[in-house]
Amino acid sequence: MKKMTRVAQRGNWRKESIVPYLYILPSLVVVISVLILPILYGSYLSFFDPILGIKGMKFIGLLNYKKFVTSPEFLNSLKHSLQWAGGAILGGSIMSLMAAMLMNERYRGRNFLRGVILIPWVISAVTVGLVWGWIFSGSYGLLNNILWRLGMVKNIDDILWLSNPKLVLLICTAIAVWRGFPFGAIVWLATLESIPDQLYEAAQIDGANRFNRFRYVTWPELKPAFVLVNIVGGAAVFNSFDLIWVLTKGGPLRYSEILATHLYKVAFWDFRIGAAAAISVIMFLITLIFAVVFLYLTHRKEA
Amino acid sequence: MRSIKAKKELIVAFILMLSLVLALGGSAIAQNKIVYWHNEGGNVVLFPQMKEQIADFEAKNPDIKVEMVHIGWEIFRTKLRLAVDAGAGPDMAEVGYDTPVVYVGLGKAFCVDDYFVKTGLKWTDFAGQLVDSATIGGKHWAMPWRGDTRAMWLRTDLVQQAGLSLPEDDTWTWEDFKAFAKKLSNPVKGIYGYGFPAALNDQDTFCWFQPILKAYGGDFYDAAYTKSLLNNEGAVKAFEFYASLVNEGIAPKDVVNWQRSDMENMFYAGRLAIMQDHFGAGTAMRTKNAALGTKITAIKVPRGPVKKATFGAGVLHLGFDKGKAQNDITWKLMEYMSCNFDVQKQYYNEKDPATGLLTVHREPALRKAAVMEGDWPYPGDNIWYEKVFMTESKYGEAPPKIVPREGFGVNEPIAMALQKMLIENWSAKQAADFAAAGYNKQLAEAIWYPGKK
Repeated sequence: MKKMTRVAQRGNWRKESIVPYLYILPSLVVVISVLILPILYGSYLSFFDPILGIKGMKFIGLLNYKKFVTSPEFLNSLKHSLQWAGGAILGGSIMSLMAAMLMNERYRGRNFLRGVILIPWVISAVTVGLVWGWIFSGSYGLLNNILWRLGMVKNIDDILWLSNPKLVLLICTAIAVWRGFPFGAIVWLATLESIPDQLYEAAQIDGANRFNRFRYVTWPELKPAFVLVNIVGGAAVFNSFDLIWVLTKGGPLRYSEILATHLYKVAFWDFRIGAAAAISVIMFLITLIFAVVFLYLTHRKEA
Repeated sequence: MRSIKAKKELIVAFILMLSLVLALGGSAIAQNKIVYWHNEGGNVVLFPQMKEQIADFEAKNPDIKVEMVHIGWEIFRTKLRLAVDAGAGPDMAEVGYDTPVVYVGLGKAFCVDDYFVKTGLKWTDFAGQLVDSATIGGKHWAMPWRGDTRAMWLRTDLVQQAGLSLPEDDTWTWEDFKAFAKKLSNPVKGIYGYGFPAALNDQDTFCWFQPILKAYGGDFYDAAYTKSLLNNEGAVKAFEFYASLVNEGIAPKDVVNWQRSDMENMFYAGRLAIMQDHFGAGTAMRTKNAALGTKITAIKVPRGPVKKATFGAGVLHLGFDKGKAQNDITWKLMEYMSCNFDVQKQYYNEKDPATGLLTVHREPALRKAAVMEGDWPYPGDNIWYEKVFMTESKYGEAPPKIVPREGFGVNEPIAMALQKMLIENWSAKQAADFAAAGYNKQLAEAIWYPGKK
């Protein structure tokens, strides 16, 4: 067999190295132009003070970060965003796990139930916001109407769900949990279905009750899915905008203002693009923390 | 056989080519284009009229093609600003009263004075508050299109149920109004005498507050735009009055979360006895529900201790400066829509074909087009144009002219101040000081306002 010359080997190596990249090049172009470049340009803008419609941008260094990112409005929005994401993670985990376990049991109508449980997830956030906004309306909402007719409240608008500063973020979080739990349920369910029945049978033979079977058989298998559901789901909720915007626009009095709605107002109500870019950089860094945690936990497991 | 088939194919190909060339050539005849942004796509009465008008305009100007683009009102302001900044804005847009000053301040609009002088009309032929909105720095920058002022819409069925009669609206004050509205309130049944939007929104909260603010002697800025007057004595009284409407059970506490649509829904459902709104609101409700027509009527806005004020609004057509050649073309459409009596009359005299009665009322900006014709089926409406629009429109006042503030920015300090009173129990003085501070901050950051050096 003829041995390949070094030149021929190098040529082959180049061909083999380049070809995969050529295959991914179109996707790479899209990702760079739609994702990477806007992130870089946004970061660049955060050091300037452009106002929409006015020519020229003044370089102001870190002033946007000092002025807007440390402002009471930003800190308030950050606090709410963390509460909102935290509540959605906690509530979503519990609800999705319960739903998955319910869907995993064998009974008549299970397939129908599986379909019904998915409904909140497939409805758009705007529709969810409009419908729940109507249900929770203090003035003419369905919930208040029912409570009034049952005699549980004296006046039809005694409870102002979305106008009450103490309740508004809680309700928005509950609606987010309702909308998001099917995603977690599917992930949990896929994991549950991969657990062999023999493990449960063996545990039962050993005298393990229902709780112990969950603790020693089910839960160890579910841990990887826990990372996916909570970290990825949490990051998605942290960055979401549409639900709160439709429900309250961050009101009343910024009691439900999250970073995304605050960012929108700075960018498109105040037209302060530089300040909005600075806020978006901070949001990006926080989301990056979610991603790093996710990667660390998944790689730690693999190692 | 083969050559006959080939010839047939050649003929077909030639016909197709010819059609393509003719089609392209046909479209090339309309070389001039006007991109026109508007908000009326959902308006079941006005939008068909607009389409007819545009079709008529194109027929009269075969070298011009108009591209109508509907953008929803909620997102219109933002989209327009972004598009104009990106160089992708329209040639002409339907804008609110507070928008011309922004684009004039940004140097994006063109002055219409040189064009207008050739129409033979006078600016006094148009509704006053619209002309005021179009006047910046002594020049005119937009064409008034549809005028507006506000009325107090009343549910006559709720008034009858309460055993009351319609108030004497020529002389009534805001205190008279409050006493009247209180008699109509029944919170146990969820019925309120009055309601208003107090949420953060485009401009509604500010619009509803302005008449009361000015009626009590408050204002946004002094005449020279040196400081905000939102915390002067009159303004504090206005904030106090507003909060008392909620605290005394005349308006629901939920107003802090209300948009205009919430107020209109409550009124429509018979849960709100009085609402302040523009005249088109009543028309829209009657269009949706003919039976409602007999249960609602319009009466005049009350006066305050200092003066009578209502909210001057309406829409104008703003032309964006794209160079003289394009501006000349754009002006033709602006002139057609605003300066043409027959076109303007279309907004007003719309009769129900079955009864011949006037059913739909629009608000033409051109006073001469607002001719009273026909019978008025609804009590109170006949006072509208002659006595209200034509006379009371002079009380209509535009918002402060300050750039880059419009819409949301104008609204935010007012909405936040009201909410602080209603949610955090701030006093009227605290709320007024807060609102004034917000407006002073905007003044300090403004890139343009009348008299800025």
